[in-house]
Parts: sequence; structure tokens; C-alpha cells
Amino acid sequence: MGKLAPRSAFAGLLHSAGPSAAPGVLVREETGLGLATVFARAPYFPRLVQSAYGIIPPETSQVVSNGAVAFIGTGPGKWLALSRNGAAGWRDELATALGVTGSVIDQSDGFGVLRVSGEKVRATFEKGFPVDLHPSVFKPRSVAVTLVAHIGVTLWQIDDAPTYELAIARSFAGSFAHWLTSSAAEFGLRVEV
Amino acid sequence: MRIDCPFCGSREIVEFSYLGDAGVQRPAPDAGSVFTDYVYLRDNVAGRHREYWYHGSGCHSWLVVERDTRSHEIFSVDYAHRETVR
Repeated sequence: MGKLAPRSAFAGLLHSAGPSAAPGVLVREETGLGLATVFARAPYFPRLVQSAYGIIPPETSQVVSNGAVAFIGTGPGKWLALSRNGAAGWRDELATALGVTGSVIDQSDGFGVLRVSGEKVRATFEKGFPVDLHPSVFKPRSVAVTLVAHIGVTLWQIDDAPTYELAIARSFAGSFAHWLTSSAAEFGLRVEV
Repeated sequence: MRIDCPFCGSREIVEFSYLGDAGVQRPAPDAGSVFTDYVYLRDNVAGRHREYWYHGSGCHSWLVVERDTRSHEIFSVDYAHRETVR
């Protein structure tokens, strides 16, 4: 029997589709992220986050990042906390920093995260996201927790390009990859590694 | 029909689940037949109605929505739990 190795949520599920000369949509799986759901339990929770990471967790549907660590506002008093320093120890690090002021649940293996960009990314997302993604409404740092093709998605915008990242529950990765491939095919979808 | 979620903004009805009348008050456990009425009896309101909705596909907040059951016009949306508004 072979040795067991970690397998990312979208491993083997993303495939380029449609015109390949000038693809309108680029997708890449972000692997090795630390992810955790965090609930605030005490009024001084934001101060502890600030002293640990130099950022104040947003109270609205926004994402605030210090480059390595991001707090993504997913509900009142609730965040998806993301670390680009790797999954190992992320939950424990947060739990230590927050103490009794927050509840922390490891999601590093629970969600798959995709980074999606390209000239036609908005035109693709408009086919499935039931939220207004027009640049006058949904901007860099905006967050939406919603449904795409009945699949729960947490979406946040990175920059004006526009570049987006989205988190999808691991067991729905195949279904979401299917939706994305079908929806982006007319523009061309390129999978980057 | 769309609901203007206080956290997420305007969202489609498919993201929400309906619970029911937000006006009923849970009686004391030993209240007898009053408790039966609380569990089973509901007014079938034609007009303004305060009701619980759960944003299960969004921010997972419980909301109280005041809605006209005839036109689906929505007059107000608030968090159901006072502590949610910090």
C-alpha cells in the first residue's frame, strides 16, 4: 500500500476548456492555506486580533488583510480567518491569540479555495452568482456568502483586475468545478498551477 | 421576492428559510392548553405579518421580517436576536 499524502480539494477536478488562444478566465487553486471559522465571544475580541495581526476584523461583509492573514466577514460576529503561512498550527495559533474571546474551528481541510481572474471573469460569475458584481457595488475587499447553482460559496474580491477568491466546501468542489468549466467555456478557461 | 438582509444586502428568497409567526410568545411549561395553542394555532393573516426568516445560505442570521402576505411588500427587516446588533 502506498503512503498517504495530503490531496487538495480541487486536485484533478479543474480542466481547461473552450478557446485556448486568449482565455477569458484564469483559475488556480490556492493550496496550503490555513482556514478557520472564528466567532467573537467577547467585546475585546477585535483588540486581540489587532494586537496579534495588526488588523481589525471587519463588522460588515468585507475582508481585511495584512498580506499574510485575512479576516473575511461572513456574518455578524463571524469570520473566515485565512492564513497564507500554511495550515499547520493555524487553528492553535488563533485559539492562543484569541483565548476566551473567540471560538475557532479549523477548516483548512474543509474548504477548497480558488483564485479566479481574467477579462471575462465577471461575465462568467454573472451566470451563477445571484449578487450584484458590478464594480460600482462589489469592489476590492467586498465579500458575499451566497449560492451558485445551489452550492454554497464564499466570494471575496482581491483587486480591480478583477481578481476574486472563493471558498467552497470540499465535498462540493467537483460540482463547482463543473459549473465553472461549463460557464467559462465560451470565453476560454485556463487552469494555472 | 427579495429580502434586504441587514448584513448581506438584498438577496433572493431561495437563500432564506421561513419559520413562521414572530409574534407568538412561548408560555410557561405548565400553562396547559395555552401551550397547545402556542404550538398549533396560527392566524392566517391577510396583510401585514411579522415573521421569522433564516438566512441559511448567507450569513446564517435569524431575521424578523414585516411583510404584507398579499403583495409580498416588505416593510422592515431586523435581526431577530438583540445581541446580534453590537
